[in-house]
Parts: sequence; structure tokens; C-alpha cells
Amino acid sequence: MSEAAVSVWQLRWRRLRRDWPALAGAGVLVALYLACRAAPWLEDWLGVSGVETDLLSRFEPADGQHWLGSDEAGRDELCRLLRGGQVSLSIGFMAALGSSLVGTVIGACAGYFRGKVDMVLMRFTDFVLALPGLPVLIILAAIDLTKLGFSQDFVRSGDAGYWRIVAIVTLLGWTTVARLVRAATLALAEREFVLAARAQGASAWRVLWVHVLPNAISPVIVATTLRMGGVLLTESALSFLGVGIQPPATSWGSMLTNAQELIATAPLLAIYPGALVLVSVIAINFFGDGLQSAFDPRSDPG
Amino acid sequence: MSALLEARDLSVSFPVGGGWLQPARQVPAVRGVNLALQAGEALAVVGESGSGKTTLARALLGLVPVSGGQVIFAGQDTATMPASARQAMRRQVQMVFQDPFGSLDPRLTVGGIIAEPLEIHGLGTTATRRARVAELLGLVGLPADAAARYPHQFSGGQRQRIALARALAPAPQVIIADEPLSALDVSIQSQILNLLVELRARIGLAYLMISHDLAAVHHLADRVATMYLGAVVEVAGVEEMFTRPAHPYTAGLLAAVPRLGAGKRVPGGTLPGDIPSPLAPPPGCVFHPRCAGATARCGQEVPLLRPLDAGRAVACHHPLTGAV
Repeated sequence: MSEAAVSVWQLRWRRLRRDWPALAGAGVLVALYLACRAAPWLEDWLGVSGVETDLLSRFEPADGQHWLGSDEAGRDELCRLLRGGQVSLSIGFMAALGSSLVGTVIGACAGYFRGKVDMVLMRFTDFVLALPGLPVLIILAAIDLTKLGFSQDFVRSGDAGYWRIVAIVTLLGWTTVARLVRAATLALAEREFVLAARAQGASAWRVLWVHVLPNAISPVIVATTLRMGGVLLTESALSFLGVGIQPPATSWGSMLTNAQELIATAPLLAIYPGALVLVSVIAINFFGDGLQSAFDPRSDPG
Repeated sequence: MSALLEARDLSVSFPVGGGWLQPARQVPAVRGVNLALQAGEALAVVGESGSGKTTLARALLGLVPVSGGQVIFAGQDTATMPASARQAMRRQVQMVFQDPFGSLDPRLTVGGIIAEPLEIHGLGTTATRRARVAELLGLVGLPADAAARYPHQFSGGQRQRIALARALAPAPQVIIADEPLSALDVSIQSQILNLLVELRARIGLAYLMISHDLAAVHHLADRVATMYLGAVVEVAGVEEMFTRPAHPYTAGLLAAVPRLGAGKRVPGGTLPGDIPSPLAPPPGCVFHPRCAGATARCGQEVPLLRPLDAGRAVACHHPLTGAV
């Protein structure tokens, strides 16, 4: 009784704090993100550009100005990687978040209302899950956005490619979270504290928002984190296939695409973005695993 | 005398099995129960596991769909009452659950848990709710600073006090308590039981207590209803029930209570066998396979709940008459 109020979140934070691979993963991600945000300042400071082409200094080796050399159009490779990273990481974050939001809503409705609602939503989930991923991605990526009512300006801008990928990955990626949330909701709906709230006359909305979702959120957070790694890879694949981020904007995936023709002459141009994708995905997975064990009530409560 | 909360011929069945083509079978959990709770009264429902006590409690609160009969609150049928009356009933009828570890949301503070009924029913402002929470914590014997803590920081008995405070929050007329003691340590049970008795004396609540703890029932209840396989087999005042049980099943329950010292044997002795499956109930009186006094008639004719004498009713062809 003398113990100060310790919420479950504080307990989780204590567990996470002792998990060094998770902390290292988080540290790498934060460092990568900050470095990517710093790209414009780095460009100013070094007097290089990751966007402007300079055909007189193509394929420069690494030196004091171009720390990682320059690419086939004379752009500074490091700055281009950082600019690409901004896009790649933020697509990963946005699309994972979007998938989780959609999945949570669908899963919570299916699990709480059950019956026909559950049937319809879960069969739809099975349908989406059964779609062959890559061909659908390519078809969706080929949709002419102007026919969907978007303005020409938007479609031609770099933003369109960015949001297109976020939307596609969200539309195809929510199924895991939907199933997780449905299972958690089904279990929670039988718990007595949910019955207690229903006996009080709480609305479905209140029961879901106050009692079910806060108790179901842990696996969602973990799944979102792990999903982010998957999105990075999907983005790379899409951009690699040329349906993702288009020049002059870039991402790690589209840098890989550009590098494939030059793999014999300038292999480093493929290795750098590939390595960054690899490092980010590993860091994200370490962090996600750490969250998973920190959220598991069976792990040491100290 | 008008009943506050009443079950009229109430039945609840649950579907089992069933698939795309074959329809699900219905398992009757509560079968034609008639039971009335008067204002300020403490009514206990006793019976073995599987006798339908918990389902009856949940059906009274509208937590499980009713398959037959009615639940009447303050003279109104809950199935047809307007939404506003239903919300009013949900304020007046509160529930305390068996497991104090499961009935409190681990994500909310104790203050949030106790204030929830007030929020749902839009009672008071944030400040008056806080004051009410402190008052309720005092009423159930917890310190006021408990409001800022989380359920996992409390023991089972303390949590049951929190659950009770939540039930008391909207100033209800009825508390339905589903085995409120059975998940607690014996030493804590008496504390909670005394608290229930004391609260009733102070606030004038009506209790519907589901229990298989006959000693607790004896201590708290005015009347006792015995349930067997989803039906009420005997209703009597608590003293008559404990001294002169009329139904052989009640007698068997009483005989099964372990006593210190050499207790007298109850006629009929302890109960052999188990409660039968509700999917395949025996014909006639569902209790007859376990009943020492069963006759041929018991295997054919279903006994109805009929008045026996002063305030007693029993569903038995051959009610016991002797005193214990």
C-alpha cells in the first residue's frame, strides 16, 4: 500500500530500459532519422547537393567534400541517401500507422459486435490476405490518379508517389492487426470489467474506447513496429520496380533501382542504400521484439 | 407489496454447436424462473455450480439475451421499456462480480473505476465526482488516496471493496452480487460479508446475492431461493430454510456443509452424483435420479413450484416435513 502509483506503462518502461538490443535498435533509428533530417544543413556545410545534378563530377570517389562519393548524375551520395531516408522512413512510419489504424477499427468492430459483422469483416480480411501481394501492388501503383479526381499538379508532384505508396501499403497491410485486435477484443469482451461497464449501460463506443482498446493495444504497438520494417522493404520493392518514388525525389528503394544498371561499374551505389534498408529493418525488429517482451506481463515485473 | 426487480417465467438458453447447415442446439441455462426481489430485501440464490445462478443474475441485468419470460423492474417490462427507463434501471441495479481481479479494468485508476458509473449516467461534475469517490472509498473502508492507484496494487479483499464502491457510486436500490466472497481468502470473506450487512443497514439496499456459501447466506439473507439445473426448486425465509428445508435438494445442500463437532444428519443425507447435463435433463423431476425419496411419479411428472406454508414454496412431489 505504501508503494507509489505505478502504472502498467511505467512497469513496461522499466523492462524496456534494461533490454539493450531494443534500446540499441531505437537508438539507431533515432540517429538515422535525425541524420536524415539534417541533410539540408549537411549540404550547405559541405557545399554539395543530393538533388542538383552535376555532370562534371560523376562517379567521384569518396573525399573530403563527397564523403561517400557522388552518383551517376554527380549528386552527393551521402546527402542523397539521407534525403532518400527521410522519404523511406516516413513512408514506413505513416504506412505502418495507417495499417494499424484501419486494422484496429476493423478488428475491434468484428470482435465486439460478432455475428454477421464479424463474418463479413473477417471474410473480407481473408480476401485481402489472399490477394497476391506484388501483382496487386503493381496494379494499384499503375492507377491513373487523375481519373480518381486528383489534380494534375498533385499527380505530377513528388507527393503523389509518396502518398500512393502509403495508401497502397495501408490498404493491403491492415490484416495482421485486424486479426490481432479481433482476437484480443473477443477475449476482453468476456472479461468481467467489460461486463461491468455494459451492466452500467455504457455504450459500445465507450466500452471499446475505454476498456477494450487500451487493454488490446500492446500487441498492436508491437505489430506496428514490426510492420514498419516490412513497409520499408515493400517501398524498396515498389520503387525498385519503378512504380514508387519518382525523381527528383528519392528513396532508398528508388536509389537501388538506379544503381542496378551500374552494379558492375559502381557497386557501392547499390550497397549503400541496401545496407541502410537492412540496418533500419534490423533496428526496427530489435526494437519491436523489445517492446513485445516489455509488454508481456509474464516477463519479470521488477 | 410490489416487487422492485422480478423474473417472470424467465428462461435463458445458449446455442451450442451448429454450423453452416445444421442449426445450433439450445442449452437451457435458466428454465422458467419466477423470483421477486422486494425493496430493501436481501434474497440469496443458492445452488451447485451449473445450476444457472450466474446466468440468472446476468439475465436480470440484461447482459445475456433472454429466450423466454420477462424481467420486470419497478413494474415495467425491461424488454419493452424505453431507452431512458432502461438507463435509469441500469443506474438503480448494480452488479458486484465474483472475481475482483477480473472485474476491475487494469488500465484505469481506482478513482476512474469508481467514477465510471457516474460518468456513464452523467451524474455530477468532475469535482463532485471526485468528492463522491472519496466518500465511497471511506464507506467501503479504503483510504482516500487509493483513488490515484491502480487495481493491481490492491489485495483481493481490497479490490472487492473497490468493486463494491463502484456498485454503490450511483446510489442504486439493488445490488446483484454474484458470488462476491468465493474468490476471497476466508479471513477476508467475513470482512466483506460484514461490510455488505453494514451497508445494507446504513443505505437500505436490496441485495440479490448469488452464493454457494450457506453460512454467508444465513448471515446476510432474509429469504433464500434454491436453484437446481436452471429452475428454482424452493423459496423460503432464511430461518425456515435452514431449520426445515422442504426440498430434498436443499436438505442435501445443507447436509453437505461441513460442521465442527457432531452435527445432526439432515433427512435425505448428502447428495450422490453430479448435476445432470442441461442438454439431456432427466424426465419428470430433474432431481429424481439423485433423490433418496424419489418415487415412480417423480420420474414422470414435473413438479411445479407451489406454495407450501407461510412464505414458502417448493417444487417437489414429496416435500420434507421434519425439522433438521
